[in-house]
Amino acid sequence: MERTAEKSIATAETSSRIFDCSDKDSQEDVHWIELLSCLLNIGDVMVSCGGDIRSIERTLGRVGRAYGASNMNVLVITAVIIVTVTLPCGQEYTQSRRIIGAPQTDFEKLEALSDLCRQCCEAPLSVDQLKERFWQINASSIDNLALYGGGILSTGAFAVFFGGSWIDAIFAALIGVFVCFTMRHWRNYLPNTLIYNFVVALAAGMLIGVAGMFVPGLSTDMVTIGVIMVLIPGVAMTNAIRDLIAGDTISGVMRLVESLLWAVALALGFMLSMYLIGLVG
Amino acid sequence: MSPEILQLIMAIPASLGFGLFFNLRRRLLLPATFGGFLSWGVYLFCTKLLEGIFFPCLIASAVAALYAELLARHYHAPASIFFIVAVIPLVPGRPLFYTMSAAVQANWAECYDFGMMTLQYAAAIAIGISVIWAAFEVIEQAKVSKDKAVVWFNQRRNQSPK
Repeated sequence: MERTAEKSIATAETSSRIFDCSDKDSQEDVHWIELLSCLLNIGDVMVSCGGDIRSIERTLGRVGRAYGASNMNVLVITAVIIVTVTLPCGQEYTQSRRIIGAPQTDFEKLEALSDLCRQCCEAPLSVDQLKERFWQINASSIDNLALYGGGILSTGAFAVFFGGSWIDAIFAALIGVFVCFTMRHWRNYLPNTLIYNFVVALAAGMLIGVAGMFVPGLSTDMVTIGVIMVLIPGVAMTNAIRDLIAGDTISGVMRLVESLLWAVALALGFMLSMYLIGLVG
Repeated sequence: MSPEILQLIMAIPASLGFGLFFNLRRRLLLPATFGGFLSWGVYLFCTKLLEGIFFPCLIASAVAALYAELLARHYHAPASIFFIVAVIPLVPGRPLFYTMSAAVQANWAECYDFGMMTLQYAAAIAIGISVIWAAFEVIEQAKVSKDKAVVWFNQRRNQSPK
């Protein structure tokens, strides 16, 4: 695979020399191949941060045209990005990128990247600058305060929201801390989201069950519901629907099936823990 | 305190928590959190007027989507980031849990009831956002076509001999 990619890049470079299409009006400095790989990087990160397909396709297309492409042909599927750029002289470059790795929803990164693209549409940065800005944005990650604070707030609040008491809220928040901890530290060892969801649901369910045995007046139901709310793949489901409406059927169906399977894995994890606790209790 | 008021109040930290959890930019946290309060408020209001859960949830989800689209245009940010935080209180975590719990106890009648309830919520949210997004898609397309028409018209005018 890699060898083919290298070969295609090499051919593209030679052909650009043969056809030398950098006439005076077109921007000679723009290195299309580098720009394309940078665009693919941006698209890749935007998909895993929770962007919807249509807006990523549009954004990448706009940036390419801002750099002087006469036509941009962008296909984004949740697993792959293919970009073909047509230069004013008719020369075409195509590059693709396989999107691997677990999605990590990060709206700040998503917004920063779409902002960077918007800036590029208004006044294109040099490719090196664009690359540098991209790596700067990509290096940031969710800080612990936001992740743990968010987890505690939402699990605790949802336990009360669905009818639990304040003790339930405190325990839900504690389990919320555990869930956030697994997201930060276990995720790398469990790159398969299905297995991750199952394992985390099972572990959280067992913890809740054990707590229920020792703490009188603790409603394990409410604690579990609070924790489920954080684990439900809401972003993927919402994006799936959005993609389906926008006409990106492949991505929409892929994400929908994926997120339903994740939800089933969650349910199975919690069900197994309830069954095991039921055996003991 | 009536449970509705308590729910309405708790919708605020719940949505705020999700905003933090998904690393929403600090400046956008407050408006996004208000979306969660708004969608649950609309849901509660509609349950007083309408029967069942499907239509109230549909209307609440549509309001959340509309709110998200308006915010997105105001802050120049993707709409889905506001929508996801706003719609969180409507997500059927409770019926999903009871579906599971009934399945573990092999209580299939209850499992079916709660399963259908979960599906109703999910379908209502999906249809609610679909309506709003489809409308905005049409508006966007109309704008693009109008811009194209203006460009074409200007070109023709410049080309035509005076």
